[in-house]
Amino acid sequence: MTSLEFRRVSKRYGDRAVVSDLSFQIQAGERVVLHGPSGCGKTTVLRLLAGFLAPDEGAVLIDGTQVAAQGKVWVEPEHRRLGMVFQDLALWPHLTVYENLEFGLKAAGLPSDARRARIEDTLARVRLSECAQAYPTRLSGGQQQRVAVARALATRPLALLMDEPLSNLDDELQDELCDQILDLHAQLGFTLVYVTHSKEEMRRIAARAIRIGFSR
Amino acid sequence: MGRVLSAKNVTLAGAAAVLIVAGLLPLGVMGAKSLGHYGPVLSNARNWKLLANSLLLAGSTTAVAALAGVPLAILFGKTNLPFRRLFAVLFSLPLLLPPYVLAVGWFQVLGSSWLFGLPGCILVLASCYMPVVMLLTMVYLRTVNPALEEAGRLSANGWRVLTGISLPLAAPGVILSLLLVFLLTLGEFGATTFLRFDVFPVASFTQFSAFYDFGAATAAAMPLVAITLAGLLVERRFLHGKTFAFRWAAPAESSRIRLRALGPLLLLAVLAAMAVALPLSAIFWRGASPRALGDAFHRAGDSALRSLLYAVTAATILTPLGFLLSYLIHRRALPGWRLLDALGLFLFTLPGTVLGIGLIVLWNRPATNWIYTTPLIVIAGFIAQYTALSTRLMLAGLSQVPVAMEEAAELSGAGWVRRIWRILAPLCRGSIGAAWIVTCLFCLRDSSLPLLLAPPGLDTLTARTMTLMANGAPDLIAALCILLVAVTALPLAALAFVWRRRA
Repeated sequence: MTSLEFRRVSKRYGDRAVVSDLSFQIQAGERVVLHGPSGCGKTTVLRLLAGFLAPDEGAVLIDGTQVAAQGKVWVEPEHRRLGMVFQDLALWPHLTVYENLEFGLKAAGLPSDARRARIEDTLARVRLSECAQAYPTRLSGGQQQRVAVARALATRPLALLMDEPLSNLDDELQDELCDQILDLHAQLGFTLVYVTHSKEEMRRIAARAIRIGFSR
Repeated sequence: MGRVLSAKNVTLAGAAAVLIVAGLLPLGVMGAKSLGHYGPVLSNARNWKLLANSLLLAGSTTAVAALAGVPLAILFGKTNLPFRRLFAVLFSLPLLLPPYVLAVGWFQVLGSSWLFGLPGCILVLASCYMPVVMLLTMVYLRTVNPALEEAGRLSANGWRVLTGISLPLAAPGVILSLLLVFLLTLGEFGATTFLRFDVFPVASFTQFSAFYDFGAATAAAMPLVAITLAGLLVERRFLHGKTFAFRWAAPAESSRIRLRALGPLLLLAVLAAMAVALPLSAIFWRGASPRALGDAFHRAGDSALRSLLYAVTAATILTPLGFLLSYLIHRRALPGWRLLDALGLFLFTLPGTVLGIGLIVLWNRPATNWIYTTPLIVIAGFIAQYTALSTRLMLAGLSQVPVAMEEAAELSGAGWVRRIWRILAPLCRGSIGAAWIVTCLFCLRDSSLPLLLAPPGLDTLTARTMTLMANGAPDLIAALCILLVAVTALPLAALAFVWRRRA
């Protein structure tokens, strides 16, 4: 579990301020939803947390340590111990489900047996054991969603970032996956930062909500 | 559903017919003409030796181009190396020139003893065609969805993401580039003639130019047709369905590999100097005297003007032709779109000598002398050979424009011609400009087609230079190459001018 903090963070794309003087703290193990209208910078906040972007001003802290500040990334994404589910899932189409999960574990240097055990355990948690050798493009939308969650959790991150992960699914699947995400949070205890503009998802996921407004 | 004889269908079918008449018909006639002449060609031991030489040269050149091109693409496309764009441009320059210009340059640097023969040919052709591998790999690496790389960066460093995700996804582009280099080298005979390494394209060229034996020339060309066809079938077989859903996107800065710049930068500077600057500098050193340049202009000034005229005319035809064919392929607008796409690529990789002989066999008859005895036959050759270039560049642009944009115009009541003219063409203007410039440059650098096809007294600078290379003084040859570089620079200067004005 890990705590996350934005300290007076601003981010601009050219002349356009996307995030302006934003501050918040998320405690370890907390379940937080970032919400706000489309284009208000919710995804940018996640990308700043993940380390894909550096803030122009202010600082991003993980467990009290400054990981990015004043235009510089101090701690690279792979060293932040974060998992992320992307809006378009970003499953690697040339790798099987098993290999998608294995990629991060190999990079972490886990031996083969430990990798296999971890992958089997993670796939079982999202009820996808039978799909291990399938390629992602062969799976249904709901299954792909669960693979993305499994891949993000395989390395046992301290925090999980989710960027509107259910936006492309029908209501029934959204309900089912919301339950599954809550179950996984309860089982593994990670800090959850969940971005959505859906009030229903926010109601179901959020223990606390942070509203992101438009920057000028 | 539209009418069968709509403006759209008629226009697209017309564009397809142009490619078929310019490229496929000559090959068909050539195939028919070659029947009955295979015996002597196949029983000639020298031809087998030449074929082995060609395959050895093509294989070695491809290997060297891959070993240099892929790492350079990674360095320029995926790292934070300073001046990486400048380096990429520098390394791409040889692609703009006929390979024999580089051969002349290296000859000035190294002299004959080391350069002549297989190693020299590999050096020259690999430095000439390496940019194909480098540029295609860079393009394919750039089209990998950044989110796929960022997903990897959460658990792995940049190198691991590159080798595990980016490169496997770009592999179809790398393999395609290697195939192109192999086939382009296989058809090369200008540089190999200068470097005195006998290759197979010479066999059919000799039958045609020395003995004027059409039957034997066409039969001797057929093995190259077969190899080209086999190469493309292999590409279709192994790469079919392996191109994943790519999209153009800004490269993900988070997946850029951070280098300590100085070491690789120095290494690159040395490599660039060797591969590009050294031979070109040597040509300028040797040929840039007023006397040599004056002599070159006196002997080939008119050819230089014709080169420009032919290239500009061909590019101006190839650009709308490529646009229409890319539309046909992208929208699958007519049956056989897949075959048409394959035909274009096949003609692009076919040796110019083979295509040239086919065009002569087709058009050298009294009824069509108005084509055969005029520059039209050179333009027809350029259209056959380079339609794939304009089509592919246009496809890249067209695939960025959502189909809904055309559909919205259609719902507004706009006819097909108006939709093309007012919606799609303006949205694809970048690709249209790129297609014009690239095809113009490739027509300017082509030597095989003009050498075979240009009517007497109407040759191009590349053909004139090759003819004079046989017995011209080294100063004159170097000066002719400078003239060639200058002519090639003209469209690039025009491009730079347009860019500056737009900026």
